Amino acid sequence: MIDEMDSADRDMFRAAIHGDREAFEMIIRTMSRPLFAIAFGILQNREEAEDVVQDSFVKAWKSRWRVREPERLQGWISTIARHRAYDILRRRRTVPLDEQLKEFAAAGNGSESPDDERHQQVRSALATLPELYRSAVALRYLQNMDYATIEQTLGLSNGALRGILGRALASMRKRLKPALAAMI
Amino acid sequence: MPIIHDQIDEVLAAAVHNELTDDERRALHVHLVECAECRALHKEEQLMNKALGEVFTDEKPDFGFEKRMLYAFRHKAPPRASIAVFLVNLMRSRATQLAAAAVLLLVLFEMGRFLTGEDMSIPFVRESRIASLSSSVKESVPRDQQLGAANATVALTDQAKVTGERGKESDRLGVDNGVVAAPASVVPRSDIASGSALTTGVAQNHGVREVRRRTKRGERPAGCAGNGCSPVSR
Repeated sequence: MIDEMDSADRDMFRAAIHGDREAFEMIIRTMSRPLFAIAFGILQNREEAEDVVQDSFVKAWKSRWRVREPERLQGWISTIARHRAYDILRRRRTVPLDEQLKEFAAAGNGSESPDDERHQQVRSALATLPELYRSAVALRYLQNMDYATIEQTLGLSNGALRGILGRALASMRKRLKPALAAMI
Repeated sequence: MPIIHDQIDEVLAAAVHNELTDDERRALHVHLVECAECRALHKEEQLMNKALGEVFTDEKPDFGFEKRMLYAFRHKAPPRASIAVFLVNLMRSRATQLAAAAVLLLVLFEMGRFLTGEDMSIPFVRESRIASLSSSVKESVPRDQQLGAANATVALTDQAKVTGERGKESDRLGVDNGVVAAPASVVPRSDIASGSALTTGVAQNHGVREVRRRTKRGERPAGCAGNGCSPVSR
C-alpha cells in the first residue's frame, strides 16, 4: 500500500521530514482523526486519546529526522501514537480495563437501556483485544477507512489487515454470543 | 469450498466491510448455501458489525478537533528562529540586498587598491584624509608645542611684514638672524604630516621675535657683527 501513495503526499511528507512546518501542519490536519481513532481504540477515553494525539505530533516533529523514507512517515507517527496510548494504558492497568468499564457502568444510575448495556458489553469485548487489533477496529468503525488506508496508516504490509480484523471480530463475536443472540 | 471454510473469519470480516472481490463474494455465497455453520457465523458477524458501528458513532471527534490539535502543536512545539532562517529572511529584503551589494563593491575596490598599490581615491576624499591626518598629528603633539605652533602661525603672518620691511631693516640693522620661515603654502605635506613644520615654526617664531624685540630697542640682533651678517634668504 505504501507504493500507492501519490507524489503530492510523498512531497508533503518529505518536506515535513526536512523541517517544513507548514507541511507538517498539513499532516496534522489529515492525520489527527486517524490518530484519535487509534488512541481511542486502545484507551476508550476521549480526553486521553486527544492528549495522545497532541503528544504524538510533538514527539514526531522533534524526532522527524529519524524517518529516512517519506512513505513511512504516516506509519511511524501512528506507531508513536500507539506506543504512547499503550504507555498510558499500562500506567492505569492496576485494574483491568474491562473491569474498569464494568465499574464505570455500575456507577451509572442503573436505569440503562438494553442498547447501553450492549454497548458496554461491546466495549468490554473490545478491551480484551491486543492494542493493534483495537486500533484497526477503531480506524474501521470510527473513521470508516477502507483496508488499504488502514494498512497505510498503521504501516502494515499488504493483506495483513484482513487477518487482523478477521481475528478481532471473531474473538469479539465469541465473547458477545449471548448479547448478539439477544439482538436478533 | 474448503478454502473459504478454513478462512471464514477473515472472509466474513471482509464481507461485512465490503472488501471482498467479486470472485470472493460469489464463492462465499456458494459456500454459505452449502454450510450451515458458516451461515450462522455470517449472521453473527453482521450483528457484531452493527453493534460496533453503534458503539463508535457517538465517539467521533467534533468539528473543532483539528484546530485544537494544531493549536496544541503550535503551543507545545513553537517554531525556533534559527540563524539560517533569520539570514534567509534577512536576504529577502531589498534594503539588505542593496547594502550587501554596496559592501561587496567596496571590498572589491579596496582589494584592487591593495593589490595595485595605487591611491585610487577621488581628490575630495584625498584632501579630507590629509586634513584629518594633520589634525590627528596636532592632537598627538604636547600642549606646549601646540601653543608654540599657534604662535608660529602668528609668526608666519608677521613674517610677511618682516620680510616686507626686511630691506629697510636689514639696511638699517645690517643683520638678520638667518631664519626666515617659509610661507605655509610651500611647506611640504610630508612636513605637515610629521609635524616638523610646526617645530620649525616654533624656532622661527623665537628668532623673529628676537629680531623685532631688538629692533624696537635699537640693538643689533645676536650673531650679527655688523656688515658681516649673513644675507636674509628669501
